[in-house]
Amino acid sequence: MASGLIVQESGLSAGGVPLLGAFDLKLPLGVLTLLTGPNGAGKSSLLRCVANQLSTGGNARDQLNPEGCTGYLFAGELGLRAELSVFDQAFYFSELFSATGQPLSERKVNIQHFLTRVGLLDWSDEKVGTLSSGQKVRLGLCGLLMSACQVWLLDEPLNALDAQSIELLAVAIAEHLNGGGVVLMASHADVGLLTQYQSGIRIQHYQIQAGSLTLRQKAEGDSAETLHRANSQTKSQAKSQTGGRVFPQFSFLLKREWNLVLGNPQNVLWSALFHWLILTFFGLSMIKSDLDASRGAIWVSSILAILLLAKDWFSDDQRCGWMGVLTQTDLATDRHGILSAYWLSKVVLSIGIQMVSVLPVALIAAVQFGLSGHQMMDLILSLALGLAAAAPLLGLVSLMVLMTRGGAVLVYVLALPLLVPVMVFGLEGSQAQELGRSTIAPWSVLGSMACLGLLLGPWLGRRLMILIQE
Amino acid sequence: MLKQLASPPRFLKLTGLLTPYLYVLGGLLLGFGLWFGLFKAPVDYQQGEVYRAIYVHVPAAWMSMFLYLVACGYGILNWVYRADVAAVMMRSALPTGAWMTVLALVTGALWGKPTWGTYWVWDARMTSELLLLFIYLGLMALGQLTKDPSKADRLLAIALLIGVVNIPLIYLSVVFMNTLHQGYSVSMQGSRIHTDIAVGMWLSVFGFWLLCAANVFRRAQCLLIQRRSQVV
Repeated sequence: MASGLIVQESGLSAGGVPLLGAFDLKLPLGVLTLLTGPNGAGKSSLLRCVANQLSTGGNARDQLNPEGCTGYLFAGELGLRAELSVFDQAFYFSELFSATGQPLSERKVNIQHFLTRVGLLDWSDEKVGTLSSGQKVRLGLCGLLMSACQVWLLDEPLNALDAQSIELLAVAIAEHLNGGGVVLMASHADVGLLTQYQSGIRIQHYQIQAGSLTLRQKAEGDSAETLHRANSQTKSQAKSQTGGRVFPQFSFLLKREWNLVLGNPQNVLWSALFHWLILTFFGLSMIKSDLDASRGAIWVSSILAILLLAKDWFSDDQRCGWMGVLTQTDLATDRHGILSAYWLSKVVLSIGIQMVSVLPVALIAAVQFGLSGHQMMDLILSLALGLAAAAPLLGLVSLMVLMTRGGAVLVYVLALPLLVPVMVFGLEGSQAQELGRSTIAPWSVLGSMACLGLLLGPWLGRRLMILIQE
Repeated sequence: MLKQLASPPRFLKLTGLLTPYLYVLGGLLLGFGLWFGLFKAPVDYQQGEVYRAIYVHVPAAWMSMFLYLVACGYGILNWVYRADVAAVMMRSALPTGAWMTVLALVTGALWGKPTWGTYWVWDARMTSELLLLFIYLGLMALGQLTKDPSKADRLLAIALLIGVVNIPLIYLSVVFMNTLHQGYSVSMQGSRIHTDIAVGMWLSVFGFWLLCAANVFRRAQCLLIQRRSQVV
């Protein structure tokens, strides 16, 4: 059994700029590895590189126990969304990291226990957005504590913390190290702040200077014996986690999306307003009411609305780090498919939002242009099918947008031509009946597009998200 | 066999040898096909001389769809094997495909004016072909947007795979839509056109095919050399 991790890389660069030459980073178990260096030297890039190696099965991965995942605490990328409540956020962390078969009430007590530990129990009903930056770090730490991850990567964790929080972190790190964990911390701040509270923390110190990584200070003492014990302990812990639930494992993702929708009601309102505006101006521009054209307007506006909203489906989650946390979990633990489930829940709820926002406007249109009940049913059905066909496509395109800085417009240029067939078939489906044609043909084309998208989409979406995090 | 072709030096050597012959052979076939079609083949009893646009229009339209599928195939190969040659082939099929689409649209418009009385209608076949052009342009732009070329390659492969739904839509649009565009003249069950016309058309189809292949190979060579010089 290796008494630590060794991360080797032939070089490191960020955005085409070389930062580091070949390096050899040893991370012994039970030791806090401190990483220092001037701004822009590549500390954060190094942390990301380690995270990548650990998750994608580089050399370093083999030295970990198979269930041992990597936990992050990257400043600004804690995976927190301002719209969610503190308790909900902690709940999603706990669902993500520990899929135990406990009943819900027990899990809730467990979460409250962790929230008490980081001193956030009084805030559990508040929105994450109202927390101070130090409290956000505490909440991130709460997730880290729940995760049972063996490797902790901390990027400037001390920045926003007050004395009490630093003590909290020091205790948490000391406990983690005693349990055989590995901690790699990049920091400008004086690490004496930590040892002042927990003198038992053993520290080794790496410094990045002028493009090379050097070991400045070795950790004293040897504790191989304790490491072995700790390792087997983590292993048995991890084993008990692999539960047999498949769907309920991921149902929390849907719940999270739902809460995000509730936290952003403006999205639904905005779409509804958009449809209403288009229909209003459309009505003004017409001399006599034209049934086909009114349906065409609703179709065009709902396709445009979903296209315009799609650019933000994943961007917030990527910015706040949630997508990184999910990718890490998907790759490094046995919870494969969590990314696909995440993608699917996003897409399905977006279809729902669109339908909800278009319904009242479609009702207005029905009154305004005198659509019959039957025509209305056809319109609604073809909208539902069409949006189900369009949304998977947009789910993939909005992920591509994240990879192309500033290229969003061009990616949408690519998406629009693919949406036109959906619109054409949808329109055909909504008016085929009166024109004496069968509605089966356009509906089955849309249905098969939707099925294809919803089956292939989660797989492609997962690949794209992994590609983004690389 | 596939593995050997995936080695860049071997690919460069082979295509370097092949490309000039492809150009010459393709040019000869196309020239002969056009000569045969324009001067030898009989006049259409309905459309008169105008129908002769078929000798450019049909091959260009077929190539525009075929090259998309080729790019898609190489995209999948690149995804699976991470081979530079596949990535480069995928990228170089796109501009040629876009030009073929333009050619099909332009010749179609010129053919449409005397026969239908208009250059353009928003008919299913034509609209979907125009969409194909936009998709080509979008894909070419997408390939340039990300800095890391290997990441961009895989991104492009996924985008190609998504866009492939459009190909059957174009091809089948004359079947399941009421279009101004005429239906199939050539199908698996045999063709409904005069043998001499068919001969001319098939000759120019093969000519187009060889010329497109030569063009794609030439571009792939340039891209590959460019890429390797950046690495070194």
